Amino acid sequence: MKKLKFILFVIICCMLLITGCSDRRELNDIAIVLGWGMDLTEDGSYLASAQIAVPTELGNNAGGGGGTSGQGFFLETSKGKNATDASQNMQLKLSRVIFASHRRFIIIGEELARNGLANAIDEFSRNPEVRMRTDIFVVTGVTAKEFLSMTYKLEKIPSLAPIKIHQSVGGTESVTFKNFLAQAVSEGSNATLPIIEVVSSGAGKNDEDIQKKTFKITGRAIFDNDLKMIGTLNAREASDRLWINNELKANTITVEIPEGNGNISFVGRKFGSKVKPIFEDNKIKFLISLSGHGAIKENNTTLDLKNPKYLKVIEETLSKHIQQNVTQTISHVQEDFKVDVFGLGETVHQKYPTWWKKRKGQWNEEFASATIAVKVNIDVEEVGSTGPPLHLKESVIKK
Amino acid sequence: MKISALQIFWIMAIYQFGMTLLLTQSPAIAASKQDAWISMAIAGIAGVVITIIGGKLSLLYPKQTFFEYCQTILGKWLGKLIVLPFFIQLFLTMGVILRQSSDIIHMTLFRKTPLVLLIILMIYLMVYLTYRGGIEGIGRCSEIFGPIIFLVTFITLMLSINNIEWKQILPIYADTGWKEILKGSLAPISFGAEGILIMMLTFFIQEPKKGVSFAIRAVGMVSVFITIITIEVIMVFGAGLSSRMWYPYFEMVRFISIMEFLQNIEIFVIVIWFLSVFIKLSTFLFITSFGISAFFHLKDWKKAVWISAIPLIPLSIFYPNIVSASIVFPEKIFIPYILPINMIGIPLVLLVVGTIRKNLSIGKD
Repeated sequence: MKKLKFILFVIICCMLLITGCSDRRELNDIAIVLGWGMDLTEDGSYLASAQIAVPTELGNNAGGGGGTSGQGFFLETSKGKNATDASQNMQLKLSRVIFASHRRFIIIGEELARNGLANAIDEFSRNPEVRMRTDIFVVTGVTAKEFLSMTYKLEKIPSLAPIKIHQSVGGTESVTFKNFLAQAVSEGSNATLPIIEVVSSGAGKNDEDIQKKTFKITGRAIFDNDLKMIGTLNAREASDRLWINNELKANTITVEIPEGNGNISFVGRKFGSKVKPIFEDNKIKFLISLSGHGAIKENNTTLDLKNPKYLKVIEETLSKHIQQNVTQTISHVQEDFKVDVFGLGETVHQKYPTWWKKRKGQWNEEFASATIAVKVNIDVEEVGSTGPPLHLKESVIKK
Repeated sequence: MKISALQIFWIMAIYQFGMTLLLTQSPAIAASKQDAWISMAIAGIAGVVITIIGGKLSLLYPKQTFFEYCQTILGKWLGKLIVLPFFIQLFLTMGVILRQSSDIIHMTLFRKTPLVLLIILMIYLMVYLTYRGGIEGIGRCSEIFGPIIFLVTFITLMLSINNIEWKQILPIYADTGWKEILKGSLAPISFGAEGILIMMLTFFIQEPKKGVSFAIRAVGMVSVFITIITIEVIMVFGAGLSSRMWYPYFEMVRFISIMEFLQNIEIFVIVIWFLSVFIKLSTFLFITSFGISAFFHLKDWKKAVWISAIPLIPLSIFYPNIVSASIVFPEKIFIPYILPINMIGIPLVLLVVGTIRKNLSIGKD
């Protein structure tokens, strides 16, 4: 009996070791995918591109004095029927096993977005290796493959750049994919994704400047119920949309002040939004109340900002300006796209569930014809370190 | 071989918690959408009621084991017969739990390791604890693991707060109605009802009365916890997304990111899940082997540990895939048969007959 127990113990110990062996993954056996691109090819299959980290190039340049400044990544592409198939075909070219756990950035070519994402994005959430906390963008101007082959001066891994840009202009932190899924699933809202566009960075005349390509976030792609991209919002409209959805984190607004013969710039710090659905004569109406708190960062008017009267003027002009902009954004969406990208349907669903049950099938038509009123309230809390501009003559300044 | 009231509290709390947390949320949310938390609360109340039934029953004869008082109540042959469904239940559930727990560990951590290895290792651990420590060992383990499990869960809840959009819980009730809500509570009830097993554990408690009341409190605490977690899961992902995930709570923890700094902490969930399954399976194994030894009049119940452990390997491998273990088994076997017969029917019959008998015998005296 004792002998038997001992043998059993040894066998179990061996099994413990085997567990470690069969699942070992050394750093030099894996190809770490940092960014992933999907394009639609002419024959209907997908072209996947992967930005794969080159570990030896990533660490050594930091020490300085390095002679060669190699890229921290390389691009690999392959075709396939879907993401997994393509990555299987890609594996044929790679000496290391594709490792997707660090894939936090996915870029979709415009062609694919316009033809519909419904059959292309399942892997991004099903694969247990990857996280839902992923950012997903649509690229216009070039294909996803071309985009991923670009370098970016500030980041060794160019895939990080769009994520950081998106955050610094007021977007959410790596939740675009989750939000996209949530909007797509919900019957009271339509999905959107941020757009990235490739532009030339230099404004100069010489060839070198024009050739220097970089990218910028230019707005938001709008998808219909079949997840086909049907239109775009520009950068301002996109941030209006974020504001209505209560997701806006930062925004800067420059507005002309007629009273002061110049413009001011307002940097918002805290944004709020309240959407109130109202029923009137069996028609649905919305009252959207937006609020913003922040500081004046530039004052090119002649107004003395120490005077509360002028502060009030600025607040009112700002509010009115924003109100016009937001109203214009909403009617642009209502008229041209007829899909609810503001999640207004969800607010109806939450407030009038019985009505919603009957009409949710035609929600987009209801949305397109709904009256939507916008109310904006801007609070200027700070005006910077000077009252009137320092360079102006005393006689010019309006006190 | 006696355990304290606090130990039974933690045993009950742990074995109710882990499985319910990971396996019942998805079916509940699929059935009753954003009202799943009501389903969970109903299931919690049902679990407490069932535990009270089991506790009351066992307190009729606190000096006798379950096997013994079944015979006291129903007579020798019927008393023996009525234990059989519980053996079937225990073996089937142990097989399923082993399979599901190994599946999730396989999926998240050891993708290339053969599943059977994970199962055998788990069985070895259970056998070790049960064989060496018996219920006392299990009780002591629970006393250590319990606070850790609940603390870690609590921390994950706190860290998820900044992902919450509370409006996703609306509208309450309007979308579903009682039918859907009750349907959603079936899956959590089938796990919560395992509190009935207190009727087999009371014999081992030093102060049976206090122990039973502690056990009921444990089931209540777990229900409150599960309800809160379900609310939070729905607020993070919304009913639409979370009903389509296998393990919504696990995904919620994967989604945690505090200032892009505190991330990837889902491994803690796997650890608490593993601990919880370990305690649950060990408790089941102990009950089963104790019952088997009583059934076959074995002198040493420890010999029965091996007899009950070995069949678990084929029982857990038998399921062809995750779908049959996590969906077909609860829907086709657990909810229609085990829940009404083992968890509610037999204990109620025993309780009624037992109470009448006791009153009669007191009347005779």
